[in-house]
Amino acid sequence: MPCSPISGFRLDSESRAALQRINDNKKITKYLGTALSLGVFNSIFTKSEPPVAAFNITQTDWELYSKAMNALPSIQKKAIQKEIDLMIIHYQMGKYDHQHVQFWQGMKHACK
Amino acid sequence: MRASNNKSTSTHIRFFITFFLGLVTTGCSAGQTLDNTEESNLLSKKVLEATSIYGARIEWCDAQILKYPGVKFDLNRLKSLGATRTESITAVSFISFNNYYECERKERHNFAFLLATLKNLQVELNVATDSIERIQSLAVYPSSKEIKLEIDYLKLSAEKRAYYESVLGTQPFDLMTVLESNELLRP
Repeated sequence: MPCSPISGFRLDSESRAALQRINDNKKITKYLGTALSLGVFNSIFTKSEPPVAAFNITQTDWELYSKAMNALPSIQKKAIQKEIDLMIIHYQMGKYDHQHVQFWQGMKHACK
Repeated sequence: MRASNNKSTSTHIRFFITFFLGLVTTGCSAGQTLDNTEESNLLSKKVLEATSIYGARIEWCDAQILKYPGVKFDLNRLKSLGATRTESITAVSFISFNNYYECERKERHNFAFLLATLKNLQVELNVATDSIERIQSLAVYPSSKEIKLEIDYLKLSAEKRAYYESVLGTQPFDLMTVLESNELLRP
C-alpha cells in the first residue's frame, strides 16, 4: 500500500506512549534472555563477560532454545499489531485526527 | 489458570518441590542471578518450551484469519437497533480481540503461568524481576486500552451485542479488513 506523506505532524502523548511500547516490544528477546536468570541459558545471555564455566548443553537444550527464539518474532509481531490496531480505532472513535489516523495506518501497512 | 487435570497438577507440584529444594542451596541478592543448577535449568526449559508453543499457536491463529469469510452488516438491521458508527467499531474491535484471545488462550495462559511462577520465585530469592514484568506487560496481559474496550462493549445493549456476535462469529478475523469492508473507517 502506498504511504502518504504527512507534513507538520506532531505525535501526541498517546501515540508517543504507544511507540514506546512498540520499541520496547522489539527488546522482548533480550527480556526473555534476562528473565531466564536461572540456569545455563542465563549464563549465555546475560553475563557481561564471556562465560568460563563448563556447561552441559544437550542437543535437546539447543532445540528448545532454537524453537523459542524462532517463536518470539510471532509473539512480538502480534503484540505490535494489536498496539497499532488499538491506536487506529482510538483515533477513529474519539476526536477524529486525520494525521494520526494516517500515521497509524501507515504503521499498520508497514510504512515504517 | 485452571488445572486441566490431575496429571498436570501433579507435574506442577513435583516441579515446585524440585525447584525449591534446589533453591535452598543457592544464595543470591538483588540483581544477581542464580548459579546453574539442574533445577533452575528445568524452569528455563519450561519457559522456553512454553514460548515456542505460544508462538506456534499464534501462527496457527493467524492462519485462521486468512480463512475468515468476509462479513457485511445489514445496514437496515443496524439502523433498527439504533447502532452508531462508534458502537459498531467498538463491537467489531472487541469481538476481534476476543476471538483471537479465545484462539490462543490455553497457550497464552500456560506461558503466563510459567512467567508468573518464575517471577514469584525470583521475588522470593530477591532477584530482579524487571525483565519478566516487561514481557508480561508487552506480550501476555491485556492493556488498559483493551480493558476499556471491553467495558465499552459491555455497555451496548444485549440485543446489539447478540447481533454483532451473530454476524462476526467466533473465528479470529482481521479487524481492519472487517471495518474497512463495512465502511466504518474514516479515510
